[in-house]
Amino acid sequence: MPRIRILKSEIALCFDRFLIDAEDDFFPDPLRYKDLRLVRDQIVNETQRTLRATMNQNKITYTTKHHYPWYVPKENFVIREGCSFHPYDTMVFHFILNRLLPIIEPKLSKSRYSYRIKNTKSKKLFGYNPTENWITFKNDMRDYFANNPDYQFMVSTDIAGFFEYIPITIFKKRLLQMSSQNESQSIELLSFMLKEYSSSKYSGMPQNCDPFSYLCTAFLDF
Amino acid sequence: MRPFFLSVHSLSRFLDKELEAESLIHFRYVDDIKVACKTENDAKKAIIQIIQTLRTANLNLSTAKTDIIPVGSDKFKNLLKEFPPLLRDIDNAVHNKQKRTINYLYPKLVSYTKQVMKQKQQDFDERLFRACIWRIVKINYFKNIDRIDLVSIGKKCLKLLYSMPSRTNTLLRFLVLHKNRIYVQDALYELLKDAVYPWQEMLIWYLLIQSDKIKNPDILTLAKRRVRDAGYHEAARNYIYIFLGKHGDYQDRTYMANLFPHTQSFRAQRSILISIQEYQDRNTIYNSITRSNSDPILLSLVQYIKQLSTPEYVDIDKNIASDIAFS
Repeated sequence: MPRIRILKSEIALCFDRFLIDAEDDFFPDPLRYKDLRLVRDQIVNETQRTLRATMNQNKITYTTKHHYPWYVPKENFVIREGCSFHPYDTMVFHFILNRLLPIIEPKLSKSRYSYRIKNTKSKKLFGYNPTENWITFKNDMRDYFANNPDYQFMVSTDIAGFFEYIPITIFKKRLLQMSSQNESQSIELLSFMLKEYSSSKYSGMPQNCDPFSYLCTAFLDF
Repeated sequence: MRPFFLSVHSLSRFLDKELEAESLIHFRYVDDIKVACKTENDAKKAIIQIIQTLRTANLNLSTAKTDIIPVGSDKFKNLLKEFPPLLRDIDNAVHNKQKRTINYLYPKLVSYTKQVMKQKQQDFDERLFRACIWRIVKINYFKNIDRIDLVSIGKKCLKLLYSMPSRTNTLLRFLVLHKNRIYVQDALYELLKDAVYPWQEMLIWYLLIQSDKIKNPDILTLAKRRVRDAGYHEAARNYIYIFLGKHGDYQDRTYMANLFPHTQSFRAQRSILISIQEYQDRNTIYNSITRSNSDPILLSLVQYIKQLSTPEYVDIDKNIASDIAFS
């Protein structure tokens, strides 16, 4: 297996993305991790060391840090599992996403409005006003029906327990189908970590983390 | 649309691609799917198509949320309704920091918000209400803005905490404006007494930490009892540590300091370190971390706290995206 290179600059980008991700955490850190900037280099070095060791194993193993499957209310008094992650694990998720973005982005449908990447190199993955996608979603629908009067009906639907029921094996299989050998270790690591986080061990994507918001929404496009 | 047929799906061609292949015009936001159809029958076929495609990945549609909506119906109009121009004007004024315009529009926004909240329960547009209160909060972060009485809106937010717990974050962002008012503290105490959702409770303590003074002493009594309950949910307990660090007394801080060596959880450790900033023997704990703990995350917190001139218990993000309530 060729040795996988992991550059410090890539991990530093993941660190910055983690800090931005933490701003809208379901479980906000009291100081929004701003103290971590003081030891940015140490954290980056530590993560780089861990990832180099992990990604260059024949069989991927990774010990996830302590996490909490805390529940967050949804509409109509239903609850969903909103994982509270350790900063190191979140940085690893951002690393995996960074490796997968070049293969996923070109394959995505224009009909998908959520979590569109503005710039794959940017710290702010989803732009400065991520909710503008929602506005575009509504505006495009409004325009479509206004300009096409022969379309007289709209099907409105959504997927039951979407995040909770995404099957990890199918998710991994689809990612592997669309990627090359270069990304296989990242996909193995992702799948390994997903099983660690899943209470059922075979389905469910963690919520409360930008990489998963992106990957889950892209899953329907794979 | 092509003649309808049930296709055999490969794993590599999933929902969006499948719908595109069937020439179905669709729009998707996460798992919220809309399909444009010419006839009701086309719409029924589209639903079958989506279900069959999703089943290949063990997913299914939500029965309760699936509907065929005629264009022009009230439901259709409601679904694609635009927000009133007033909100856009406010966004522009806030973005360009035009204080005179903000001062002109702000009373109109407050009055509009009061109209929205007076709608009957079945007509209440909570998304619009949230859009309004986000903007009120945003405006209140500006200096030299004419103050307007917001108590009735605050009371509405307090009521909604019961009926819409999923919106706690937004509602509390508004209530922060009245964090020192007794009506807010009394109502939050009632909610805390029998809190159903630890997440909601955590956010309430987060707000109370920001209060300059706790005027309802029952809140302090409750905090002291819960922090000493080792089995209490950690999400809330971590914030109670910080609450008592700021609003509690010497005994509370001693209790938390003594707890630290026995605390394993990363989040609880962080909360305790933040909570003991005014504890007189804090340096014993802080120095023990500097000397012996090699985890850069704890070290950074100690380093950060030591350089503060006054204690800092929470960091408040005042940079609220004005369009956030659209989602």
